[in-house]
Amino acid sequence: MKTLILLFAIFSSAFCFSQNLEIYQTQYPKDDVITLSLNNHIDITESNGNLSIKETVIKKNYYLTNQRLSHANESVSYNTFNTIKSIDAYTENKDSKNNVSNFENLDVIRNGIFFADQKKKTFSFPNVKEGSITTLKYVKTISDPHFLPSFIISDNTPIKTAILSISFPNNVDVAYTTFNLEAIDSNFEIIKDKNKTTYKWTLNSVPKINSNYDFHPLYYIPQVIVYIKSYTTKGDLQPILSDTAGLYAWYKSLINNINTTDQTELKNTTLDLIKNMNSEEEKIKKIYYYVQRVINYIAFEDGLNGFIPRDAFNIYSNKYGDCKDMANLLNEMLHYAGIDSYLTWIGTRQRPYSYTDLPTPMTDNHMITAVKVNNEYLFLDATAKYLGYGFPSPFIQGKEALIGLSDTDFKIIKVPEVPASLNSMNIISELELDNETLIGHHQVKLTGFEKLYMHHKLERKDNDDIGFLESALKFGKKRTLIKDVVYKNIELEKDTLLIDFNTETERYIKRIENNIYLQPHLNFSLKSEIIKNEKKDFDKEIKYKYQKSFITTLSIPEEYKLQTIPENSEFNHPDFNFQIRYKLSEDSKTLQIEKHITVNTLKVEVKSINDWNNFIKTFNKASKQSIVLSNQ
Amino acid sequence: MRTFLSTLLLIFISFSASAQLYKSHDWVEDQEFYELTAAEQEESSIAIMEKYLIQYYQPVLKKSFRLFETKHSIIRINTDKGIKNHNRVYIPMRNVKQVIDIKARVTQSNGEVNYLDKNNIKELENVKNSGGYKIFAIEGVTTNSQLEIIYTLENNTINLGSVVVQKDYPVKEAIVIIRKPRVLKYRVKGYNGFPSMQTEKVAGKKEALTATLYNIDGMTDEKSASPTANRMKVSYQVAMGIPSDAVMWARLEANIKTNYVDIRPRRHNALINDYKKFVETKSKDSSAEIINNICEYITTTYNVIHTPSEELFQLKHIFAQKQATEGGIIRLYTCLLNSENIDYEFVLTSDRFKHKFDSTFFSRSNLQTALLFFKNEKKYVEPEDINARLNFAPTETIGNQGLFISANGRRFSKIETPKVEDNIIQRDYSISVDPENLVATVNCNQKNTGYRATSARGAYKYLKTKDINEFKSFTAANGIEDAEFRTFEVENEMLSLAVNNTPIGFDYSYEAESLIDEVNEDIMLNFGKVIGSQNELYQESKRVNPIELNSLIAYKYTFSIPIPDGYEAKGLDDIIINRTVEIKNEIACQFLSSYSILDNVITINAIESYNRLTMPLDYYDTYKDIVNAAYDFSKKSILFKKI
Repeated sequence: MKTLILLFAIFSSAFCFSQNLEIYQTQYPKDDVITLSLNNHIDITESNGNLSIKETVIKKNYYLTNQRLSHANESVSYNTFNTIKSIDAYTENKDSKNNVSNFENLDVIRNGIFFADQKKKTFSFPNVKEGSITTLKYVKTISDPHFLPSFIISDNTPIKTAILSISFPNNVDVAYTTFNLEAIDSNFEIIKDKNKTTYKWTLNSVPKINSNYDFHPLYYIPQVIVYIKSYTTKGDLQPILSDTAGLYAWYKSLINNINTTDQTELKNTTLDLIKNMNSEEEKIKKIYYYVQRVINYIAFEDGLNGFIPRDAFNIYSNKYGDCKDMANLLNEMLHYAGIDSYLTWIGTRQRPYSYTDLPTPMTDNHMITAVKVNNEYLFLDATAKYLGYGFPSPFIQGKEALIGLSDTDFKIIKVPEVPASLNSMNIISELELDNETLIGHHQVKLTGFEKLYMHHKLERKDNDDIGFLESALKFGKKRTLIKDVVYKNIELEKDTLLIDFNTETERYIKRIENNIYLQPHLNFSLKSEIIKNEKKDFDKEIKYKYQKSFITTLSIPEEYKLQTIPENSEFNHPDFNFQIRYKLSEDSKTLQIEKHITVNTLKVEVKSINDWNNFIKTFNKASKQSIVLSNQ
Repeated sequence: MRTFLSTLLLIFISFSASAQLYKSHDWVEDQEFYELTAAEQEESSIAIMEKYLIQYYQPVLKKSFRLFETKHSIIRINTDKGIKNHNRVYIPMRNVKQVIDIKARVTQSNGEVNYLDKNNIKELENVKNSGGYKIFAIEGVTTNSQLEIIYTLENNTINLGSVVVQKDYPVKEAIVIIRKPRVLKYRVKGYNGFPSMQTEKVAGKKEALTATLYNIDGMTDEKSASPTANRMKVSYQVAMGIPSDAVMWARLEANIKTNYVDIRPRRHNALINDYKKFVETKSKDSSAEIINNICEYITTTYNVIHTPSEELFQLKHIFAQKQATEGGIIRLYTCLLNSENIDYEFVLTSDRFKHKFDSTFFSRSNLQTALLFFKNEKKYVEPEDINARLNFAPTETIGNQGLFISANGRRFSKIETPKVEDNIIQRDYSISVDPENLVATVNCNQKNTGYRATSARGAYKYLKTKDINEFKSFTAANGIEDAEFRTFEVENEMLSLAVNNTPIGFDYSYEAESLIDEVNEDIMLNFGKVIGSQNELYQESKRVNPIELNSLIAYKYTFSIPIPDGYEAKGLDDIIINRTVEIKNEIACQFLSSYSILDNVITINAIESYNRLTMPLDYYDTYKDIVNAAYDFSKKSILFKKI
């Protein structure tokens, strides 16, 4: 009888769904698959002072078409901290049920990570067609209470209903923070019984992840992040992630036993490096540039080792390491030099969280070294090779840094945003015409992040890439021959990178009757920066603030006179502006063109996007203006 | 596809696998820090030596053979780019029985040496179902250091292999040694300048084949070329007896027939009935329609999954689960084709950009791509393609040889290259200028045939509901940042229309201010920009590879541009371009553009065509002129002068 009831249940639900197919197809006309329900539950129990944590996920997908069968390919990821205890997956059709029988374990290879402990179980739902319902159910065991899974809803399918919940005994203190729930229909309830509390969020009609975000999707997608503050066992309070201090205490406990090998050689190298140096700043620079130059960045994410820097001497000796390894080596060397420096945890701009709102390992993903110079903290990131001393890496600007001052003391400081004036590109050009060829002599000065990124491009440059500067500086035409290139101040320690080069651009001018039409603006910065279509609905991310100046002097050929000069133009906005000015010399032999661009923000908000587009359009139009020379 | 063919090959050759002798190989205790010339120091890295030792070994008193492979590299690192290219090592474990040894060291110019700590060797167990890897980072590598890596693996004993000695970086000396017992026969074939291997008798009834090469240039990754296929390499075969090529191909033919061609549909009634139900209402008037029905049934019903599953090679399970391996999906096609009595040939070939099919040397590189060929229609089906329909052969296979197997036998034949007339983008523009508002309105009727129709249909199918703006942008307004679409219509988007090469059509209009520059009271119309961003080959180093294109193709443009009232058109002669490259008195490629004015309307015609799939290196400069002419045309403008 039980079997019969079960069969009836299966068939009646399938019948129900088949009736609903047309309704859903109308409701979701752009989707081949929707998620009918997502149930994600975390269950915490405590026994003899130990916490057991289990995550159970049940997801039901409904196939509205058979146009994208690749949706049937699924995977569940796992790593050292969360292992899959059981997994079950099957497809239901009107008259059949097919189980997934083949699960494969694959390594997850991520860009920029050399080795990680991240793996995934992959499989394909069988017998999927229009009207199929697939069910995925798995249980994971969480081995470390610091790493409770987060509810981050970033599916490629819209979700009809998602229920996210966590149950815990009353001697466990669980906290939560939600992000971006305000934009969707959601409901939160607390269910208490004698021994257990459950927090439950119900989310209705969650849209699929949008591909038009410019900032990282974490800034937009619905998230419920839960974490254990503490628990009590036999009257003792066991802190886990009680608050920022609790997070710091845990981080600190992880690094208590680093650098235990013999560090004498490292110390001697440090002392040798700073020999005869008196000023603290000189010493810091010397060590900072040394680590930048000698240590190669190779990323490892291997369980808890992903949070513990490796031995400083080994890094020094092996000449490679990831961010925490390089921060540790730098910190250790600075200590040998008698400098007060501190290991510092920080989330890059990809993490939209603050330590106060979310005192968990989710908040950060990077480690650097902080030093205090002239009563101000400087943030040294040796992973950003070629980053000038005094500059934070561009991707941590404006973010909170958790500076570990001592075993118990820490400070949270916001990393400053580097002013536009310090990230500059200046190009002085002298142009002349030789028949139809435009000859140019150019001097480039790059500072700050402009210098940093040019160095990165130079590092990757092929020897035979003779058009390199055209794309690297966004300068000239495709057919511009760039020659006699000389790089000066290329050393890490130099603040300004200088590049001199000459150009020849054949058939540059347009000759119509007795006139020559010539576009004197050789730089094509900002050309493709218009924000279009749905992207207008989201803030635009700017990597760094900057200023660019182009001072161009055009010699007017003897036999020609200037017939037309474009009008001066400008666009002013507090966050972005440009000015273009034309000035004919008194003897009418040269025309000077000054172009200045400033972008003074790290974000263009949605409300300013029309202004930004006007800025770009006005700028592009002004940059295409021709001057007209007529034969005398 | 790689998976099923590799499996196939292993099954196929395993009976003829045989054995050789193993010899250890080691580095010298004190590594020399080699002197480099000034030119060599300019390279980001350069191999002083790369040695490949392939050792077949027969243990005493044993009949079976073992295969050991040693790779030994000494590489000088000159720059940070060189460090990044060499300081991470991945050793594939796919066919490895056991790792005999892995070691590495880095020597500095002052003689200081860092040895790899073997505890730091990490293991990846399964990467994309292609097996595991041993990985490690090289310890102590800096600029101006010399790294040395040596590893020996015992591999599964297979009798076919190849060694690619040309790398992205220059190699001063490359040594390939194949050592084996004399009882084993061999044959080798070098490609792209690989020299003959010298044979030498070695004590203990062994024999060594050796080739030493000096100063191999690093291969440049060039456009319109096949640099990977052009790398210097050697393929080899070692076995107790070397069958002739004819025998090898015959065995493969038999294997393909057994597994793919000789499938009896009546044993798969449920599948056939399901298919018949699917096509019940569809037209079946021609074999082409039937083939397309089969394609549609399979691509909308079955999911191809990349897994080594044996089960999903079997039709019974494939039908039950509606999923198949790459090999299984071909069986599905052949079963249904057999049920409909459609004649076809099973084609095995290679991606010509990776390896040129070589019927004179049986190797697995020849067998990476499987197609079905239909003689009557002169068209192909690519079974793995999720949008498969009767169509031209995929671009990476055209012009290449292939092995065609049917129930009646086998043949080698060239995979036909579609004619240039079959692969056209035709755009008929009408552009009007609004002098008041300084905006241009572009109307266009566009028709794509051939490969450009296939790719447009695939993209449209995917993007029409996902991101239609993205589709409009790259189809119709590539490079025009401020295009504001007014209309956009698509016709003939059905995948099955590929069979008769029916064009997919786009009818659209948009406005763009960026097409117009104001010069005082005059107007410059940048009409060329509407054809989209063009490739250019102006800034290039000395070309290394001959020209090899994806397909023959022609772009045809017409423009109809009324001269605005109160203006006259100037600078039109600049529009005229006439460049043609001829090879053996036939047009190999060309760019022609001209104009005329009638009733105050400017008409411009332009054609860019590439009529040969390959062209010798000597023609590169003239070929470049054609590509650059198209780029120049995209920068053309007309001055409308105020009267």
